[in-house]
Amino acid sequence: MLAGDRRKRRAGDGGASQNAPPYKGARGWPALVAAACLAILLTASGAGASVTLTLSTSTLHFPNADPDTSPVINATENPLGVTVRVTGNPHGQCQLTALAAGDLRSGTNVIAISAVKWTAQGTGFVSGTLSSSSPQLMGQWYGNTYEQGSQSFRLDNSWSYATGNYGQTVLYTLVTL
Amino acid sequence: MHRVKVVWLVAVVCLVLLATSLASWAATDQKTLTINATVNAKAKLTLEVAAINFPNADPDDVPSVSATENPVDVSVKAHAGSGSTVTLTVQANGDLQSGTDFIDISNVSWTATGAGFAAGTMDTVAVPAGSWTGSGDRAGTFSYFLANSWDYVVGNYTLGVVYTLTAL
Repeated sequence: MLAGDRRKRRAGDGGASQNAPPYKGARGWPALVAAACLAILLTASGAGASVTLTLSTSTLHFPNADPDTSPVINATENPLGVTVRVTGNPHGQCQLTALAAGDLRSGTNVIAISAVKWTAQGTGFVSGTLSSSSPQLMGQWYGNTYEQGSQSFRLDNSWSYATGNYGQTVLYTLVTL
Repeated sequence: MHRVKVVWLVAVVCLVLLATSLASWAATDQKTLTINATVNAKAKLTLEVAAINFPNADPDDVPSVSATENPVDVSVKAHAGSGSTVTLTVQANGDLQSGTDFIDISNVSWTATGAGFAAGTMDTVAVPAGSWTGSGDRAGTFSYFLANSWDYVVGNYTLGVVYTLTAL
């Protein structure tokens, strides 16, 4: 019975193969298109791209200082080392931005985050002022890259600041575009 | 035929995904940086001059002698708690003295300009000369006057007064 079934199946296949050229072509090329699309999709989606951001420290501190003698306070940890690595993105653009979660806060007391500024050193790195309303550009590169730069943060000092221990977080984002 | 439809469906889905993803998919890495800042309590008082002088004058013509240095600029700067009071006081070490002769310190008074600055009369106890709330940089002036009198014995009188600025 089994041998007979195989024979019948082969015979059936043989019969079908007589109509194979038009039928196989119709069934085969959509599969090819699908596979090609998937491949393009994975490539274009950046599935092959990889970005790595490294900061030399996760915390900055501005010490207490007399506004008359220190109108600007430098962060104790200056300079902050920043390393950017982009691979698998030979023709794309890459940006590093920073967005503060809010103003510097100590209880109900506030120091505007715009009082915090940084100067940058290194290819592609830029200087700026922190903001909590829109991401601020910290660097921009093209293609695959490996850049080591530094940032020096400073706080505009003022007699208007209330006493306290202030804190806030800043989110660095490195992204391919 | 069913398999062909499925393959076509996959192809169409892939094309749609491709179209929508071209501009939206990206490789991303994020790091969080914490920023801390410390502001300690501090009070800083600046007087334009360290000494004032009342010149000799006829009590009939000049019943109130103005200090030669008037007006004296005063600067009060403080880091304080948001609801804390910043106070300025002045206290005389005693009466104006020339050898064994004295002029009562209550004969010295001052007027003030500037928000928060207060006029007053000198005393051997602390007297308010200004008051503010919270941190800030305040500027004003003091003008000093000596009530003149025929009772004063001739002499060169002198005295020290201490200004104290306190921020909590």
